[in-house]
Amino acid sequence: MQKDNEIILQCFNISKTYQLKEGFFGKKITISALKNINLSIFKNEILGLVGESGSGKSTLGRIILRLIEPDSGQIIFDNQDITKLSYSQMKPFRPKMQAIFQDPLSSLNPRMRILDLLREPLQIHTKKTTKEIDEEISFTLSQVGINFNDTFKYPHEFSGGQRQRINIARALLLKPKFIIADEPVSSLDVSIQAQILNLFMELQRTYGFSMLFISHDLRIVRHISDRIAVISSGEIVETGLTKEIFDNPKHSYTQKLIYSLPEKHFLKY
Amino acid sequence: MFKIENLEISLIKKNKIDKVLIKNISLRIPNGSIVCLVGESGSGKTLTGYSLMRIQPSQNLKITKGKIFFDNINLLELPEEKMRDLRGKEIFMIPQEPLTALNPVLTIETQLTEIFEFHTNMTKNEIKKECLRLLELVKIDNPSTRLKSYPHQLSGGQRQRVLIAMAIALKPSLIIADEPTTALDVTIQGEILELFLELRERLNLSILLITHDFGILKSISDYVYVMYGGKIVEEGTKEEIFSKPIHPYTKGLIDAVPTIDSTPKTPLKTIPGYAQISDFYCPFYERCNSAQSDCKSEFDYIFINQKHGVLCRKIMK
Ligand SMILES: Nc1ncnc2c1ncn2[C@@H]1O[C@H](COP(=O)(O)OP(=O)(O)OP(=O)(O)O)[C@@H](O)[C@H]1O
Ligand SMILES: Nc1ncnc2c1ncn2[C@@H]1O[C@H](COP(=O)(O)OP(=O)(O)OP(=O)(O)O)[C@@H](O)[C@H]1O
Ligand SMILES: [Mg+2]
Ligand SMILES: [Mg+2]
Repeated sequence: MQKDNEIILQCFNISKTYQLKEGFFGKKITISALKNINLSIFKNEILGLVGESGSGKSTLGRIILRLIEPDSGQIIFDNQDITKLSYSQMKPFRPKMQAIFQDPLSSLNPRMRILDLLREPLQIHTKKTTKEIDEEISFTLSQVGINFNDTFKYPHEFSGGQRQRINIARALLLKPKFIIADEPVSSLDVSIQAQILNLFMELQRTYGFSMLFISHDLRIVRHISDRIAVISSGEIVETGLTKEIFDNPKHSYTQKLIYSLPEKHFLKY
Repeated sequence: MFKIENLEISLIKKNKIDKVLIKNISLRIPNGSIVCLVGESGSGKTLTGYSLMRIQPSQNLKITKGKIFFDNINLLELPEEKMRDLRGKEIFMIPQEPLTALNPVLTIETQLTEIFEFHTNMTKNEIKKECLRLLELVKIDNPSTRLKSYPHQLSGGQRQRVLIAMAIALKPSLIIADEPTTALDVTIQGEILELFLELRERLNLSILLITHDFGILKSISDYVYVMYGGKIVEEGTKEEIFSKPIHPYTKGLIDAVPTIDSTPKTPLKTIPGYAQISDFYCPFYERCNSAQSDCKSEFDYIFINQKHGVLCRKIMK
C-alpha cells in the first residue's frame, strides 16, 4: 500500500537495442529489447512486471541496476539521477538497491563458501563485527529455511531451490529500500514459495521496502502486487492497480494474458 | 521402460558415507508415459533425475545402493562408453538451471550441431536445416539469428527452450525435464506441453517431469511421485493424488497451491516450518500434526490400490 506518494524509482524513455548478426557474412539485425519505457515505482510498493518470455523484463531490471547501459533514457533513484554514474559513484547506491536474479547459480561465485558470500556485502557496507554479521546471516537464512550450519558449503552443494533462497537471503541482508526480484520463487515448491511471499509481504508492512516483482505466475503476482505493469515486445502496454488489471484489462495483450488463465472463465466478480 | 529400484545416493566424505540424501527410492517410467516428480525444495528430485543418466552433479555424491533399469539393462553395470552413447541419444536431461548446461563461449548453432555430429551421420546441410526446424518447433522467434547467438544473449525463457530443442534433437526414449518451463509465460508453456504430448504420441517418448507447477501436473501427468526428505512419500495417478491425497505432506502441498481468487496481501497458506534433517523413519515427522511415536521407526510402504501408494503410519490402522 502506498503510505505516501513518494517515488523511489523512475524510468524515463528507456530504450535498448541489441545488434545480432545473421549468417556468416554478417547481415546485421537489430532487436529492440526495450522501446521508450516509462515507469515509476512508489516507496513501499510492490510493482508486478508481467509479460511474455523475451519481452524485455530482465533487460529492464539490469538497466535499472546499472549492469548494462541503455541506448537512451534516464533513471532516477531516490531523487537522484543515476543514469550516468560511474561504477564507483554507484557504490553508495548498491546497498539500497538489491537484486534477486533469474539464474541463481550464475549469480553465486562458485569458489566461495556461502558464508563468505553472505558476509561480503555486510563487511563492505556496514561496520558490524563478524559476530554481529553472522547473527544476522543466521536470522535471515532461518527466514528462508536454510540452516546456518550449511553455510560452510559451496553453491553447487545445494539444490536449485536452496540456491534461490540463498540469493533471496543475500538480497534481504542489507535491508535495501528497493529490490528487483526476477522470478524469485520460480524454482520453489508451492509451500516454500508461499513462505517466501509471506516474508516479502511482512517486510513490506514492517519496514516498508519497494519491489519490482517479475514473474510469469499471474496468481502470485495478483496476490502480492499493489500495481501491475504489462510489457509486450519491449513496450509497457498497460499499468494499473492490480484489481483494475485483473477485473478490467484494457489492452488486448493484457486481456489475452488474463484470459489465458483457465480459472478466469469461471470467476464471478 | 525405465525403472529405479531401491536407489540410495549418499554424500561421501573420506571414503565413508557421511549422509544419505536419497533413501530407498523406487519408481517406474513406462514407455510413452509422462511421470511427474513433485516435492519439497531439497528433497532429492534433481539427484534422482540425474541418477537415470548415471551422473552425479558433484564428485562427493555416490550411488550406494539400488538398480536402474532401461528395459532389461542395469545402467549401473554398463561400461562407461556404452553409457556415453545412451546419454543424449536415449536419455536426455534438461537441467534446472539452463546456463549450467550451455557452453558460454559457443553459439547455439555450434552446440546443437555437436549433438548431431556426435550421434548421427547427417551431413552439414541436413544438420543446419534440422537446427532451424528445432528452434521453430520450440517457438523461438528469429530462429536463424538466434542460432548465431551465445547463451548470454538469450532471455531466461529462450534458454530453456534451446535446451528443450536439444533434448528432442535425437528423439530419445526418455527426457528428464527438471523444471523446464519456469521462465515461460502461460501461452508458450502451453505450446511446449503440447509439443511434449505430440512427441509422446508420435515417438512413444517417456518424460520424467520434475515440477512444482500444479497446473502442469494436472494437465499432462499420467502418474505422480511426491518426494519429501529424500523419500517418496506418496505416488499415484493424478486423479488419486488430487482427489484422495493421504500423506499429510501431499495434503499440505495441495492446500498451498496459489489460486486466482485468494484475498490479495493476506498470508498465503503454507506448511508451517521448514524441512530439517531427520533421523526418524518418516521424514515429515517433526512437521506433521497427526504424528505419533510409532512413526519414528520403520514401517511399510503401502499400496491402497493398484494406482495409489503411500508411506504413512496412519493408513495402517
Ligand atoms: N546480451 C544480449 N544480446 C543480444 N540480445 C539480447 C541480449 N540480452 C537480451 N537479448 C534479447 O532481448 C530480448 C529481451 O530479453 P530479456 O532477457 O529482457 O527478456 P525477458 O522478458 O526477461 O524474458 P524471459 O521471461 O524469457 O526471461 C530477447 O529477445 C533477448 O533475446
Ligand atoms: N554436492 C552436494 N553436496 C552435499 N549435499 C548436496 C549436494 N548436492 C545436493 N545436496 C543436497 O541433497 C539434497 C537433494 O538435492 P536435490 O538437488 O536433489 O533437491 P531437489 O529436490 O531437486 O530440490 P529443488 O526443488 O530445490 O531443486 C539437498 O538437500 C541438497 O542440499
Ligand atoms: Mg528474464
Ligand atoms: Mg532440483
